[in-house]
Amino acid sequence: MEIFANLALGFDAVLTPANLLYAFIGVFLGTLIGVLPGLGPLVAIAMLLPVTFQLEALSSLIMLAGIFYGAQYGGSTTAILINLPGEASSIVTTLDGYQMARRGQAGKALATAAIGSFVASCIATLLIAFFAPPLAAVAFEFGPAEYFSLMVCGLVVSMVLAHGSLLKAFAMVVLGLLLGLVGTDTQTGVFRFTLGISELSDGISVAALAMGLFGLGDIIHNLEAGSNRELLVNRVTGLIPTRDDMKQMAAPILRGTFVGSALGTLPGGGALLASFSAYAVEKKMARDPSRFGKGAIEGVAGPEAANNAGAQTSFVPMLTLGIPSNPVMALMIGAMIVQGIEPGPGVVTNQPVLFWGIIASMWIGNLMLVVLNLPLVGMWARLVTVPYHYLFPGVLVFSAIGVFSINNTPFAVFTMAAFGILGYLFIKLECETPPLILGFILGPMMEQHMRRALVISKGDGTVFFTEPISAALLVVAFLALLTVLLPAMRRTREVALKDGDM
Amino acid sequence: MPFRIRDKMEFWSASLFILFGIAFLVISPNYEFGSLSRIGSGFFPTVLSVLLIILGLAIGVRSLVWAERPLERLAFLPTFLVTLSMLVFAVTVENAGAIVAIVLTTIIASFASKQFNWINRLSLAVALTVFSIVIFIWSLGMPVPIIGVWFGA
Repeated sequence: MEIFANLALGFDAVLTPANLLYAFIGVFLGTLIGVLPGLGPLVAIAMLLPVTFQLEALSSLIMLAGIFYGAQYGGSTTAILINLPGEASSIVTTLDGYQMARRGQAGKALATAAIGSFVASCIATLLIAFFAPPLAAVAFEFGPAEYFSLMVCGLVVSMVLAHGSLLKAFAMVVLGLLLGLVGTDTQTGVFRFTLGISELSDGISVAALAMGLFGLGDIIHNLEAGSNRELLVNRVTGLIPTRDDMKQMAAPILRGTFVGSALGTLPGGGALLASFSAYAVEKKMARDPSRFGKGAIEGVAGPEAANNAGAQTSFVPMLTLGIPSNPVMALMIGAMIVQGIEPGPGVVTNQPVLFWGIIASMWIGNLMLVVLNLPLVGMWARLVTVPYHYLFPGVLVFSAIGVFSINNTPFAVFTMAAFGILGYLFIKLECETPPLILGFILGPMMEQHMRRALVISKGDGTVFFTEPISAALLVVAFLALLTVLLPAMRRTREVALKDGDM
Repeated sequence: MPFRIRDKMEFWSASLFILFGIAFLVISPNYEFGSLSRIGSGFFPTVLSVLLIILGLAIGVRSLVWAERPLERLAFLPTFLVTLSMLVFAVTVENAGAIVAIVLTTIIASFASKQFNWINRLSLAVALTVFSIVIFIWSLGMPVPIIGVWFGA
């Protein structure tokens, strides 16, 4: 079968000592940062992005992907041990994982999370291998009008999935689009909104923007809140699950994987929605739902599998369409562009080694996670206890070094500082930042596709509605909006997102 | 019903969006608007900034109608110290070098937490400096000068 030949090609590219080392470094550093309370995958990637610029394309993406999974898994460890999610998608894990830890089953909870993630990754890898190439083939038929409508659709879905007010999410998207336009206009070569600053001619740095909005904004917010937390478990024991445990977690892991794989591809809160839905599914399937929230193993297995599967399938729109489904993928696209790769359907055919290498590395990275995490769990548990006041100056220093060295310019650090203030304001004003980042990345692409579409149609603006695929995508976007605007659907959304908030 | 700002959070969100919208809209006319068949570099910015202002106004209207909601106090001290530490890093890293920049950044930032005294503040600064140099500069080869031109390097 062709797929297996292709996967073999990928494994061949990944299984070199150098690439394995980068995968290992990525997974290790990712876990290290993810374990630290309050730090999630996005901050981990933004902080380490510049490090990868010096590597060749495949190695750098392997390392970034490793950081991503590592940070995600580290976040689960923190969620289980101290009831503090490193990022939104491990919120659900705190519900039963922490309760298991309180009952002296921390080891079992951690093992469940690790096994769930690994199984999910094996299945998700195969799913991506099967479905990504056909999707890319479809995407090849896309013209500028289709791309424009696809992006509109993606942005609308990200607005619908954002917490809180739709209007504010819409405004954040538009603000993101505008910020994305800063820099040289590729079509005409005009400098836009650069305010005479030469560093801005390449646009605002994605890493500085993301790091400021998420990293610094969060730090200021945490400092204001003051954090106190308690570690329950000093020694983690009972890591090897019994046959009985295995039996109990098998079905939830499989269900979680499929829920997660499907939802992970959605723009916006993919992973969050995945883990939350998987939890809901498990609770519904359980014979005794009252055990949930009190340390049910299914409540860890399902969401952890979903979370990881979702993280992996979120690569699909990025690799096949060149469209990021979440801020982490936005940074990945940034990394690809720096490496001189044009993200989009062309990657599958023009860069098969890169494409299949990334897919193969997903599996390898997750294998390393299991191997790395279970034996090292004692060390991670100790890291979890590092007090926040020792952490945040470190995060500041590392982000500053990272952002500075992207282009060796202090200006990037100024940019980051400015977005830090803005990020803090957005938290205070309950404006969700993910839609802004998606808009920021998509802004220049949307403009370009819109221009091309209108040149082809000779200025006929109806082209977006008359081309069938484009029209269908806009209908999807419209239906997504409708789900928020119709009162009945609106209540479901509020309940779903509020539960995810907990 | 007199016009009164009831929902402060919505009001300030609206103000922020409108402010950004106006800032972009003021600059946009510098770029050619073009026509539908040949869109200029000013088209997208103009349309988007007008849209942002409209959205801001809509959110602003809600602040008059929605239930009373105060804006939480902003924490000025952490905001100021975190921002200052980053600015100092940016200014010093090239000319004074990584050692000075990291030590200053750590010390300034540490004042945002009450948990520090001078002993653990300075220990942390030293630890972060050594760690960053060993990991980022020596091991990962990131191009940051350890000692800058101000000190003759």
